[in-house]
Amino acid sequence: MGTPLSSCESIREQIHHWLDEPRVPCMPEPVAAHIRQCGACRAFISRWNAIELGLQGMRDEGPVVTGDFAVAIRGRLRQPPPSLWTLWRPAVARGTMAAAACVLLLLGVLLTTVLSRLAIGPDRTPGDTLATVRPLPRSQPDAADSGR
Amino acid sequence: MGIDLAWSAATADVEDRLALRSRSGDAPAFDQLVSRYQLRLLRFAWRLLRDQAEAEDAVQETFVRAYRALGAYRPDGFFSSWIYRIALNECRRRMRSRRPTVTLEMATAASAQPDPQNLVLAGERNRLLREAVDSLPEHYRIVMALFYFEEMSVEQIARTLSLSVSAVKVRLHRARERLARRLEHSL
Repeated sequence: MGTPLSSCESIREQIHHWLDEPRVPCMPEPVAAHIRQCGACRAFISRWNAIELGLQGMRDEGPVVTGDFAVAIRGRLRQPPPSLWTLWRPAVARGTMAAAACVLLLLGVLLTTVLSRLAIGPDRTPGDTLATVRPLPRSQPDAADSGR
Repeated sequence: MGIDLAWSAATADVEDRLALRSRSGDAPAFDQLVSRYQLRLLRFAWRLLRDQAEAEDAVQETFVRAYRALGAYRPDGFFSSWIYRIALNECRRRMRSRRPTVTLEMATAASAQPDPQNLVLAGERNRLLREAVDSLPEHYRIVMALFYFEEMSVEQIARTLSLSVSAVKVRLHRARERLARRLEHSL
């Protein structure tokens, strides 16, 4: 309440540092004093306490070990280790696909260039493109028409 | 606190010796390491993969990889960080190869309206918290799991993830802020 924001931010940092050290039981006094005065920081710490309690409750959640892990692991260890090819196969497959895509792209570019060169007719110079082909000469009006 | 530190140092020393004996072919020593870590790693893998069969497979693969890599292990008192790192890499490899899917639990949670009469409050709160943790980005979720569930210190996490202590702290702080924001109206 009435506490400047920058002060809250720096206190929040200190709260996190305190939370990082679970073996330190008591909060540093300046932080505790701030929390007594500041509603927002008090709300944060009480919310976080509830979350931590919940996390502690979840600590023992999860599956239990079924069967003999050691036996299963020994069985796996008897199998030969995967060959380098098995490990690298996905990367090699991805690389091959990428290389094939590049080759296709290059072929496409090459083919387009060759075809555009073949399409150059007698009226065109090599620099002509479809857009620069000279238009047909416009038909001239008859002399009689122009005399009228 | 002194007793705790002495105990963890003694544990680390025992594990280093077990690792060295395993390296020289002592099968019972390796079995002891397996029995020390199997449940912890299984739960850690399950938290990341959320699939019991896959978590079991990942943990067995972790031990196999660890056994084959024992020659490279330097007995520096951080066997725990070393084996967690192998488990984490195995889980990450599996997470990468997965296609993004919506689990049934998430789908029903998104579609169904909570019915206060049918839900036990505590169970509902736990579900919300689990969903909030699961929805964190992977790098925050891993740090949270190591800190709150595996009870590792910030320094141990830094060693396990090959990060600086300050980077781990930043991830922890941001993860806490996200969780607190997400659960603002539920807790």
